Amino acid sequence: MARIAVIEDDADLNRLLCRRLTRADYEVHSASDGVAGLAMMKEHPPEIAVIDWMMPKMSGIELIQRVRQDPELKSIKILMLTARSQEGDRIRAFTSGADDYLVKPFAASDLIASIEALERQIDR
Amino acid sequence: MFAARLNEFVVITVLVCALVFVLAVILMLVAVAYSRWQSRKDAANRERYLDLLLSASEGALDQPPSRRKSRLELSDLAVHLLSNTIGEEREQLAGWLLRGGFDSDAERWMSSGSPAQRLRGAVLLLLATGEPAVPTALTIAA
Repeated sequence: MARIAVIEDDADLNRLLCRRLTRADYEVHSASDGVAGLAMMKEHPPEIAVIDWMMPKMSGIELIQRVRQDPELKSIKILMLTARSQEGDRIRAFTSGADDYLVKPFAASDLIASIEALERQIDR
Repeated sequence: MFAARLNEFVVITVLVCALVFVLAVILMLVAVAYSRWQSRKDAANRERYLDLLLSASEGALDQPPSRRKSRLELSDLAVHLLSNTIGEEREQLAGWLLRGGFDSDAERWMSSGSPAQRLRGAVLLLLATGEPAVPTALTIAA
């Protein structure tokens, strides 16, 4: 199973995400802001990252851009998880480098389905 | 004689000031320790309630707490989870809250004198029961 990084500043949602993903047998590491998330990904490079948009210190968009510029991290598949649901937000996330986009409130089944789809892209 | 009295006065004043200072420092240390203990206790409770709610959303049938303060804290967390999730697990969590009597709590909170408490009650009732709660919420709010 893939190694997943969860980067979400809401501690309760972070815990919820980690729990759902761990239950689905993924190896999960988590961080609560963009800066810590980037450091964590450099230390334990994941195959997939679930990244919140609005976070302190470094936004999810900036984090994705940094990941895409880093030769060691740029191949990570990124799922952006956010409450921002406008069409323009989705476009901005995808043009910044996100591979998929999930809007809060979300269902655990949608989350797992998105992760599985990203895993299939890695296997290809 | 006057000099001796003055010396005595100075010594007593210094001792009293020192005593007050020491007491103030002790009180401050006790306050800091209490506040840290309280924060740790609150964090531990939050962890426990979050575990309980996440288990409930996965179908576990654990008993909800009965203490008023615990139910208030748990309902705040529940509102947060209910408003950020959809799907089967959200339905299971809402069902667990209703079986645990949180709808009655919510209705009671909606009659409270505190606006924050009324809001908590209304949001919990609406999130846990959905559309059927709207008439009740409007009646109580009126």
